[in-house]
Amino acid sequence: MKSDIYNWFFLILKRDLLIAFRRSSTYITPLIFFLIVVSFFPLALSPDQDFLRSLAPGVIWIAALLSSLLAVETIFSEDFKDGTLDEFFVTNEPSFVLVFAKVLCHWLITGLPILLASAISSIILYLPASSFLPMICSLILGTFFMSLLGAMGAALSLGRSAILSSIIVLPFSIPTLLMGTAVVSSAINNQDYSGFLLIMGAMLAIGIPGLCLLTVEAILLNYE
Amino acid sequence: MGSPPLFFQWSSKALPWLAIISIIVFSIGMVWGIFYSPTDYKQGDVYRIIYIHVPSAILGQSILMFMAICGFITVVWRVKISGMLIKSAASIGASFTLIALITGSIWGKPTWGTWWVWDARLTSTLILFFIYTAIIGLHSSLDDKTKADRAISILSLVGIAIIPIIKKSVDWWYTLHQPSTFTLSSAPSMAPDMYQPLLVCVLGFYLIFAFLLTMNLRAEIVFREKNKTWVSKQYLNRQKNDK
Amino acid sequence: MINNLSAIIYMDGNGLYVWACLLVLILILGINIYLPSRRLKKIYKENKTNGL
Repeated sequence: MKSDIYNWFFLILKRDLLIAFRRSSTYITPLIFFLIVVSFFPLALSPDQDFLRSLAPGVIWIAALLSSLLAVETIFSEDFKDGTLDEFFVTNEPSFVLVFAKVLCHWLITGLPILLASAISSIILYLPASSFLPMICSLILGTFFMSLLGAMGAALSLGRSAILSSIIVLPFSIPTLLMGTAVVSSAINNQDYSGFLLIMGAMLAIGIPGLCLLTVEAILLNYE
Repeated sequence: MGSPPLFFQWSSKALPWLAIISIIVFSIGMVWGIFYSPTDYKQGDVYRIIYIHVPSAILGQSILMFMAICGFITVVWRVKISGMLIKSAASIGASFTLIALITGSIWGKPTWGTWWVWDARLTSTLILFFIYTAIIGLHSSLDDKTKADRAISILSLVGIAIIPIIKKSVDWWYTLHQPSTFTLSSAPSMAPDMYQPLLVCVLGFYLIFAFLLTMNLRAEIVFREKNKTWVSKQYLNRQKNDK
Repeated sequence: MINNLSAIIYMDGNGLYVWACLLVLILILGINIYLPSRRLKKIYKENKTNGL
């Protein structure tokens, strides 16, 4: 019944959000990590204003990719270790909804701090104000796709190191990176960026069903 | 042939023939291309690297597609041998992609002046190589090999879905940043004298892939089933035949 | 068509690159042939010493 699925979805979402909020490190860490990575670029290269402005879209997007991969390893591992994940899969509720709820929770926990951090970074990297809104839009779409990919990577390498899931996920996140930086760059040059946002949206539209189903398959691998 | 022991016995007989045929076709293609094809008026004789570079790149991409098809069969129908095929094909695919990258880089030095250029084709080949290493790394990190087979089935399915997107976006990215001094002319309009040896080379490379795949698969089958009696019988048979 | 042996080796001054590529190809394909056969023989040997 329809209301059952919604109940199940919100149950998982509320539970995961509650668990995540109990430890403030889960949502503060992506924020701080993002700012540290962004700060390294002027330190390692040059603090020249024009130079940083030309680098800004790429630097912000690279930091966003790396930060959203950080928190992903805990998305399933704690539930797997204490057996709650087994319970979730034993019930008759659709597991696709479970995965989607977890991904959404992960995105709310890490995506929003990343958005805040990117706003701060756009100031310290001298990004022109006109490109601020497109950057936020592209980051919203992009970080959600990254959470989907990261969930699949975490499910495939459940119980293994986080670096492995990064190696799995990062090559697949290259289209997101290219499209996202394209949005910000074209916004800086006052060109039309809507096409790139549409492509990112399309990737999400295919990614949500496809990657969530594959993540379910990947988790079920551990129960053979 | 779906059962590993039967495949092993069949391949023991077929392997010498496969090796001979593949080496013959491969050699014909390479000798024809390197020695007998006409000299390019723009690049001189250096373009002959194309007979190594292009078939390797084609194989690199086709092998990923092969792995995705096997992955689909493994996930949907739980066939054991298709899972082993993915693992066997992965290292071969990575090798061909590496050959494409290295020969592309060596080709670039005399023609463009640098060892590496972030052009669309080389960049997407590099990303393809990363996908192969991700698949190989994931398989080696999981101890239960049947589970590992299914894990890389999933990964190769995602890989094949994302490869067109990567290629299109890298193409687009490159046209945005292409420095105007480089006009990269690739293969498209080639004289038939140059094109024919290339086709034979591609065929030869595919046959070599089949040969390497069979060798890898045989090693993989024996590794997975090494505690079964048919393996030790195989070894005794081999000893008898050698004597 | 290349007519004499020295032209083949020299290849308009860029012979080094072409032959380097061929070397890379032979090397990597050779590794791909050598490693599986060595693995197979190793498993056979291990089985023998384990007395299977």
